Amino acid sequence: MNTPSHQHRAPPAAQQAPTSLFEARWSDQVHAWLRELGSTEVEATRLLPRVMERATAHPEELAGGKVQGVLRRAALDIFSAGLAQAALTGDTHATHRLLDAWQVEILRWCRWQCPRGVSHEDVAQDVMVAVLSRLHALREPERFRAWLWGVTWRSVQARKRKAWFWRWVPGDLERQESTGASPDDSYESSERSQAVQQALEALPPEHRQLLWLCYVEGQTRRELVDLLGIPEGTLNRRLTAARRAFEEVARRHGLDPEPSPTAPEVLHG
Amino acid sequence: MAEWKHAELLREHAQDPGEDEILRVRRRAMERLSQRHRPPVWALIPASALALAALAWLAWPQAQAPQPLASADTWAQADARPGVQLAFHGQGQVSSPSVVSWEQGELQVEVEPNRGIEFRVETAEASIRVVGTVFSVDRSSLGTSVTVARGEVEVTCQDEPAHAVAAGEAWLCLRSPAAALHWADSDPGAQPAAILQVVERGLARSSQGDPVHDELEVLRIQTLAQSGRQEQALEAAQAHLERGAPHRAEEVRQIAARAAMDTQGCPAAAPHLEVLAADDNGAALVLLADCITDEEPARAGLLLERALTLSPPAGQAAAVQQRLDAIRAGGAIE
Repeated sequence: MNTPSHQHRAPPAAQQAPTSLFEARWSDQVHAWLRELGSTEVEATRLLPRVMERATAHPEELAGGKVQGVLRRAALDIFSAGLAQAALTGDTHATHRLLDAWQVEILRWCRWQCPRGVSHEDVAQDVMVAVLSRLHALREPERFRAWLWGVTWRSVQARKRKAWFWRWVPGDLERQESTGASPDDSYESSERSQAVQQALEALPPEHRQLLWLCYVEGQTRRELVDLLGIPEGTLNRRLTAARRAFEEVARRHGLDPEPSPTAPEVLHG
Repeated sequence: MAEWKHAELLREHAQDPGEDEILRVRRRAMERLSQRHRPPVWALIPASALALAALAWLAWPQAQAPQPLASADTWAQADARPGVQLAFHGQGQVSSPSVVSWEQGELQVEVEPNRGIEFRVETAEASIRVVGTVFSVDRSSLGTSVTVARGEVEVTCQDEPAHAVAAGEAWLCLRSPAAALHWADSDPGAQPAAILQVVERGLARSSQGDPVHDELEVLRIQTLAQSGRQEQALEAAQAHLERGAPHRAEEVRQIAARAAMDTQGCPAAAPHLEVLAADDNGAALVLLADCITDEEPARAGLLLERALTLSPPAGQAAAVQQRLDAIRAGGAIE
């Protein structure tokens, strides 16, 4: 679909003179990620300097093994901004390309945020339908990630409300059952993953989403402040609370990686 | 800085979706979208009839009004008058050279600017006045939605003052107060500010004691709480409860307790927690016990014991037991 025309092929990223060692190290990788996202060769070459500029605007965030995550998110965000802009002017092909680029993220987000009894696939469908039919509500194309995160969050809450409601409808247990996770999902049957799932479900949704964003996606404080629209002090407080809450439930589910001096036998002793 | 000890555990738990799962979800989303766009049975007019209607309309003298506009599943185009172009799928009619009455579906209007053309679109619940702009009107079961692409229009919803809608903005005239509820539920992309705006307008059109009004109040309280506006959520929840509204009182009181705890701490939350705990709300029993453990450890222990009898979820049960053990270890209770 995105096969570039040989007549118009842009020079490979590696042939362009890098302005720093950092760019020399990462240009080809970022170019490859942009192509994986569905950009054409020409688009990838055009977008590459903007991704690099954005990622290096805050060099302090590139330490501690976060460089890949920062670059990948920058690539996805820059690529999405252009598509969202085109989609807002009525370009339906751009809308579908946008969804192509985000569908894996949408499913990962939904799987993480949905509690038991709420099908993450149903929520992912809601989010995809919103992208395809309600994109006009997006005010700032360059903040597509934040908009999509908000859509996902509200979709989960809406499905949770519906799931709650259905529990009170007598005789409709079949529907309740059908909202569960896929039966062929062998991952969820593992004991350890069930324990992690139970521990996560014991947390408030706000804590669960913060743990995902910070520790699974590895987003930096600045990215999180931008995504969630909250001050950094508030973010830090919530993050601390989320960590403590998870540590507490993880200990009770036998998930603590190190023996803790506050284990129950010490308390009882 | 050392990485948090559980970070690896969480990353292990986060699984990427498989190809099958992606394809399945994408296909279902597309199916839902196509069902949403499927025209109702009444609107299944053959394309040939549409073409005839359009031809007849074009051949008819402008003075012969009203002229029907009807197109089922494809977009059709027509000139309402020189300088006013229409594109539509749905049904309505050109009532006069300056007015289109729109009944159902989507209508896009382009009025040439700077020609002094006065033009209006009327629906049952809205009147949209325009001079030189591009906009669309979508009439559905929710009401009339006006989206402006270029210029500005003035929208007057039933029982509401006129509202100017600028380029890039949209405005919904509700068919009824209940449509606000339906809209909030059907649009997962709606921003909290948009939900609140529509809910406020639904509230203005309904009366206290009306079930729709009560449900809108609850939606407003929920939206305020979910968007982090805890002080406003608390104020609205307290007003709802003080009014004695029985509708979803426990849910509203839980929001009040949570908002009070977040904004003012235990002293403000305690009255709400006491009411909920008296009704054997397990979470409230535990939260209240947390609030009073220092001052009244014996009562806190009793509350926790009561909470344990209510079969809390496994994770919470262990946490409650641990709290209770700590109080017992302190000697406050046996």
